[in-house]
Amino acid sequence: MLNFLIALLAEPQTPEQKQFYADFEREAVPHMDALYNYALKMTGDSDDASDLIQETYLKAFRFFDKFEKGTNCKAWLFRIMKNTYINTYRKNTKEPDKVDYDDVENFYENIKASNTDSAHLEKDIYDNLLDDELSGAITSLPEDFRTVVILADIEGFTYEEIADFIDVPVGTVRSRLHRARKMLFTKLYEYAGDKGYLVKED
Amino acid sequence: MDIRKDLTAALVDNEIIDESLKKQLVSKIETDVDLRYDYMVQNLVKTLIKEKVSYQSIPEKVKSKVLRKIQPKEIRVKSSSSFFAGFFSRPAISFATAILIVLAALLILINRSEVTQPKDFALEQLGEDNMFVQAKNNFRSILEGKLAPQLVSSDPSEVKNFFASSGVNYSTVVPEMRKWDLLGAVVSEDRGEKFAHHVYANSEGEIVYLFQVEESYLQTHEIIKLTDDLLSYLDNGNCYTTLNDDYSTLMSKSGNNIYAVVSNASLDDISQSFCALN
Repeated sequence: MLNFLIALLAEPQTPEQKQFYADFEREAVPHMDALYNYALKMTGDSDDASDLIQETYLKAFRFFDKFEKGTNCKAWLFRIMKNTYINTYRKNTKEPDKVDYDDVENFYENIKASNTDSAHLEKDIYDNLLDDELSGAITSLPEDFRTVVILADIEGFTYEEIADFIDVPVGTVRSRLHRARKMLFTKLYEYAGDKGYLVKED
Repeated sequence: MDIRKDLTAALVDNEIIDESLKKQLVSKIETDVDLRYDYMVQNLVKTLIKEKVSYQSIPEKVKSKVLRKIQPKEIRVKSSSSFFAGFFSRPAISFATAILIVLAALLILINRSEVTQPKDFALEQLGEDNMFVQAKNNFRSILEGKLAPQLVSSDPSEVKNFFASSGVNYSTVVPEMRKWDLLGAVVSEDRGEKFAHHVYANSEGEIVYLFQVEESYLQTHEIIKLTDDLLSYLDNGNCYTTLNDDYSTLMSKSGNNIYAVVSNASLDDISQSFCALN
């Protein structure tokens, strides 16, 4: 009976199928950590990140025959994950986040104008901020900006790699990253102010 | 010289290759208070992220779950067979339990199609890049005379050749239909990718528009999409039909391609002809 059940569950694998799985294991599986980390920062939730990585790898496996051997597998996986993320999360939230960047820019300029020296830019002031607070600030960024910050500052990709992942010119990556860090700074400045880390000038 | 502020981000990231631009930027940062402020902010945020945001590896449990789903079944069964072996070696339950499990499995298989009722996938298809939406819009353009065939032909092989020679990079199917006459075809282009469309008509002047895309495009290209649940539904061999804005709309899968068919003919008529394309 056991043999019968095993036969029922297991379809015979051809050498090609075994090779296919071995190739996938070699090319795609080593990037799981990087993709999980990205999924976690994009969704801000470990359950969602697990679902996202599972969907991404199932799709990647299903379409692995379309992957051009010798090209950047990590970039290919990131593209699949990004599309899966957009399909799943845009569907749930209906619309991507919208932030009025002019408001952020005005706030940024106000911070600059209200501080006559650069004491508020000292790293020590922000040293008491926790990982969760910084991760929360990143998760709250609009999607396009969040993506570049995660890829550049957490995953350590170059502008060219990021441009390839998200299919935009390198100049757009640079400009988004510049804006994203300004947005993050305004958030961190607010956190630091709320916690009393900033000493107000008289 | 006017220097873009976003170059401060590139400087922090060591992404400026042009040495002379780099020198100019560094010297400008020394003299321009605004630019220096920007540079310090970029540097501060990058440093804080690097130092404070922890890199989280995938939990072993999640990794195993993902791998289990893609591993060839032989490997999966090998790792779980010890459990079954122990279970069935107990004489008191071995035979009866085995029979029950097999019966339960058969019942699940038999009833599976009744459990998964099709839902109204049309409600979820949103956005200009959605294949379902694009097919509907294209059909409307055909009816309004805004979209005319680039090739007029009733010969399926000529239409197929037209697709291939016009840069469509996936294999296409142009079936001959008993009730429908092939009229012609269009190749559209979106951000460098070419897509195949063709049109049929019948003797009563009803039109069928067929848009086909290789499924991998829907998964890996941003320019065209379908929701995952509709894709899974089609992947399972189902044909989805609906009346949408008074047009009969059908989605199916054959070979590697996903087909969207829109028509002003009845849903029954197009289902009979287009649910199974070969």
